[in-house]
Amino acid sequence: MKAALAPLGHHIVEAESGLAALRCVMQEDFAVILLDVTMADMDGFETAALIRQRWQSEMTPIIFITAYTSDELGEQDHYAGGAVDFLFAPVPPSELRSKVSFFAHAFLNAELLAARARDVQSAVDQLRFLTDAAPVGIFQTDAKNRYVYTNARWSEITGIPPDEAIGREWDSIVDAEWRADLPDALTDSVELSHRFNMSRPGSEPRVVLATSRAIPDGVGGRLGWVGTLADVTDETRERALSEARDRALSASAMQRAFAASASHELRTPTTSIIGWLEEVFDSDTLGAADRELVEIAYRNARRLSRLIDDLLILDQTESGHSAMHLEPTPLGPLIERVIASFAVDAEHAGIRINADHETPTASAQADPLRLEQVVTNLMSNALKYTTIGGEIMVRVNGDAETVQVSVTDDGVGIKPDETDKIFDRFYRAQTVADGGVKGSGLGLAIARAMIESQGGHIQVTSTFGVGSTFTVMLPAAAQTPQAA
Amino acid sequence: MSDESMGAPTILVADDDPDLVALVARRLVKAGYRVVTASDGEEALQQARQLGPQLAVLDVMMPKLSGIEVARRLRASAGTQHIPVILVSAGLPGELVGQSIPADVDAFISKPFSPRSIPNMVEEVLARPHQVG
Repeated sequence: MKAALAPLGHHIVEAESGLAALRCVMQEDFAVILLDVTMADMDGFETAALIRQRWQSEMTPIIFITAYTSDELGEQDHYAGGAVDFLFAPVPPSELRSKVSFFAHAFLNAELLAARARDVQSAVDQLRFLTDAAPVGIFQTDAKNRYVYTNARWSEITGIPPDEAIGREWDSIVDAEWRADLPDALTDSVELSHRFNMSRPGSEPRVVLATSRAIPDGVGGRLGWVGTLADVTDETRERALSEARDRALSASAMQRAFAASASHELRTPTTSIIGWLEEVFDSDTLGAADRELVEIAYRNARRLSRLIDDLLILDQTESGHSAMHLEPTPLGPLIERVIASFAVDAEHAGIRINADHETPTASAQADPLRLEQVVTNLMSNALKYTTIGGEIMVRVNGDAETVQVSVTDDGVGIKPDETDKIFDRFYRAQTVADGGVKGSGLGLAIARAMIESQGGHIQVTSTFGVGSTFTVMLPAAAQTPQAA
Repeated sequence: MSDESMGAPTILVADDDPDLVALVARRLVKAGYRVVTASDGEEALQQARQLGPQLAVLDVMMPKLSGIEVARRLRASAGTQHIPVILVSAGLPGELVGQSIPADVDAFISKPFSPRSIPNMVEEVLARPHQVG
């Protein structure tokens, strides 16, 4: 029989008995099994029944070969037992080849189809993986604009499970008050994009962006839409914030430009006011009572003038238009100069000013005029907030990297929640608001702007009721080799 | 010029703010100077060329020609190069840094200033040994 099949070129496995046949079936899949009905240990029908019990081989076609006639095989339904055909011995080789060939073909076709089905399934799986893993919602609607497909992200965004999505109107996810603003989805457009609000139970409203494209039916109509859905709540908020920030920045730039020209324009009239008041002062005919009134006007004109000066200085410094001329600046002599300039005022106010030259050689890389201005501002501040009998301590110290000047007073101090505000323009500590302390309200803002534009820092530590320490930190000047 | 023989130096005061010009002029006249005025840069240059003042007080920000430009042109011309110039600025002292200011501007005044100080400053500048031509 093997010789008869050889010309077909198929792989042929022979088994000597029913049991041997079962072993072969367990090891590989066969296109067709030829079983002799009459075998020693178990007959062909018993063997077939066992073969059928294994799921791998339950569909394998079995052809029985028998010497009996069909009548002799009895009433039993052998086709139900797995037989697909019978060949009666002696079998003509050509018939045997024809039958085997048919089943071998069928088997190979089935294998091919199975492989194709696997390919298709794998493509489908890949597509599903892609759409489900996509970081954007994907949907498809039909001609009536009802959902026929939604991906996992779509469900995440909308909170609607896929099975509940199918069949819904596309715009059922849009908040009612936004629905009227949607362009008509059934228009002639090919692409549509809508941004709308979407509320879902248990979470705040989201802003979503739906972009869809029509699926043409090839005859001028439309099968539906395919589109994406993205949650753009954060981006929308970010953009609103950034726009607000841009507006604020440009407003602030305009404000600064305005302040600069305003300061210029204000200086000429204040010069005129102060000058003409001086003319009145210098008049021989001015009576004592009138002199007092002019004195008040003069004092306030001077104050206004100082305020304008301070605004201009602050404006220039903050806008970076004020060039700093950095050079090694010995701090000891600088603070002694400032202290000397306050000597009269301090004596007048009954306040002692002491200097502690902890590091006498400390030298800052700084603009000497601006730094002196800053220390003067700090000193003037300390003097204002210190009462009779008080003490102001000015300290200088530092190392190779950083040098510090600090001004400590034992005045009223600053409340903790105010320490970061006192460098703001026009901020006055609440504690002294009605103390009648005069000044432009810009001294510390100027101090900070000047120190920061010299690459330094200014900070304050204060205990309310005990006093404050303002500290200026600046880069140390490079050490020059000392001559021996 | 005959002014000097009359013992009263002529001062040119130029500013586009008439009240300020009047104020400075008043102080200078009180101090014994003769004063001529101008309300813009071109007028200041014209007055300087025609009248040959002994000194010019020029506001930096003036219409038509800035005080700095007037000073530069005075220096560039043989007839006026000897006239000392005091520049008046409404900015801060540092504001003029980086602009092309004639090196031989004789003094600066920053607004706001006290007009009381003007005669003294004028006197001081006039007293300097003057480089002519």
